[in-house]
Amino acid sequence: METLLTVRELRKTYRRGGGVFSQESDGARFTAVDGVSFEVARGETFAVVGESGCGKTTLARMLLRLIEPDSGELRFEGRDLLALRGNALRAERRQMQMVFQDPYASLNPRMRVGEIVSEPLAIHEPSLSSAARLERTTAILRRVGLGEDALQRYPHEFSGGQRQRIGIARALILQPKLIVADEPVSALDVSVGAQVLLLLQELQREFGLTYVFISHSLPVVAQVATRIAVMRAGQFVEVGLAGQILHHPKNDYTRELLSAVPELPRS
Amino acid sequence: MSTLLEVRGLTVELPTAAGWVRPVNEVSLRIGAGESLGLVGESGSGKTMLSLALMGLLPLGARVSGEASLATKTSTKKLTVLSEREWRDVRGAEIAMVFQEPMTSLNPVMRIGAQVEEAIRAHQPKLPGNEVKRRAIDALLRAAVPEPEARAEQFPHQLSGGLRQRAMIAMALAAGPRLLIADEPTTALDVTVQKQILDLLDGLRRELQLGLLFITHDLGVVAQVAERVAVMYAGRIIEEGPAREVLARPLHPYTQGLLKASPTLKRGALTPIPGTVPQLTALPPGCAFEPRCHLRLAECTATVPAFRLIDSDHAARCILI
Repeated sequence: METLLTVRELRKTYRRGGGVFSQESDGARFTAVDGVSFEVARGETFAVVGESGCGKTTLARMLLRLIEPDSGELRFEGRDLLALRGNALRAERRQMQMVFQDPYASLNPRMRVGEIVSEPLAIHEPSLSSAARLERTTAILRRVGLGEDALQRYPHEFSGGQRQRIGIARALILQPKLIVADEPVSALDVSVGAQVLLLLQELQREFGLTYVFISHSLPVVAQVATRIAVMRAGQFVEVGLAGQILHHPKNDYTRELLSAVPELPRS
Repeated sequence: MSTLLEVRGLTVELPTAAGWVRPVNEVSLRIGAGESLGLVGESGSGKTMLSLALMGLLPLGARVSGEASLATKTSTKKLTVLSEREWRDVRGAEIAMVFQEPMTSLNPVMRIGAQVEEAIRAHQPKLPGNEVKRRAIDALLRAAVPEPEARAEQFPHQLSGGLRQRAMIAMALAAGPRLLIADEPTTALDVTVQKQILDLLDGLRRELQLGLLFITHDLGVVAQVAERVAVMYAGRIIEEGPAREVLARPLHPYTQGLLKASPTLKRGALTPIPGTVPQLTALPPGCAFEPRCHLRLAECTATVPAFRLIDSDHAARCILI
């Protein structure tokens, strides 16, 4: 298996408190991500699962350098991402896109869906003719299950599930290799969340995408993951193939998480 | 089991720009003392509006018809016709509610203990101060808040999400209600904390013979806390029965679809329901689930299906059963 993304000893600390009114002493630091290392193979879904505050969202954002790591190493197809600046970083970034949790907060309410989805093209392929841009936008919208009429409408006219489809279309329009999805279905209703999970799986097969999938939910992760990393207090406590983590966990915390999942009686 | 709450044909209508809509449409249900009913539905199903109607907290301008009667400690109250003054003796003292997000429902600038004391004083203004304090600590203790004396002195932001929800439960139960409405009380919590809160509510139900109306979108949670379950879709209850029975042998295609769309630790069996929940302003004629239903027949658009009893206590609103 070819490695797409290599992460070595990634670390991020924040200053604790430290606001104008804080009584806590300066210099107290809180470690959000504490030396995490892993590799993601091309075409797989690498899931990171953990409870709130475990550092999974900070980790996700560092992978795209939306948050700057304090230290560590980040390689994409062997190239050192942390060494890149300016145009070189921008060129690399189009290969890696993010799908966010809240489809209500992550789409600009004043922009039409056509503009939202085609904006990455305007930035990364400015020489594209407007006809070609429209064609690419329409095609990707259609692929995620939205009609041409969506182009001229605003985000508030769409349901949560449709908005998440718009977010996915925007992430895919540059034909990236890696998608980092941070809780992509946790704000959605069950029936719609399942639609989005299946769509993500179809798109992965069709475009040969690689996913880093961040979630608090083991049942959700169980549907999509090739491998699962269980994160707690900034560290991976267990990493393994999905079946092994779900059915033969070695770590006590993994077992605790699994046993807390409310189960459905099946006929 | 004595009946605590009996709801018959309850309808709530709200004015919108597009005319009146019915978020709650002829809902009937019954909860006995010590019984837990799980109310399941997705967003827009009307489950929260139903709970607000039962608490007398509907938005201004809402129109209510039908019946909801509550057996109080002294008499039977018709909830739909109570005045605001009468509600004050019912809300908190007879029915209480726990909300989804404890951080937004607690007062951020008031100590936890003072907030519980407030809930007690509201119903017994003549109680001496030290007695109020003692009862507040008792309430926190009953909600399994560790070190209740120390926690009472803290502010909400100093507590974890799980502890905040315990404090909310302490407040809700402080005035001794017999019916507790819990609206997605664990949705904002981590799974390990969720389990503790569900165990706590279950224990309190048994110990205090509380009637529990547990509102959730999560079928797994229902399986854990509810003896009976009612499934709501577009304002109506479309299936009701014993939780075990409904989850293992669902009758309505929507309930079946919801189960197949719920992720479990087993991979692969996920089948989404096509389409989305209909807007209340544009409900399909006949069965509201018809446009999304893979078993639909031509007759499904004709009339709203009647609620049909299959076993002695398992019923659904579908012409196919």
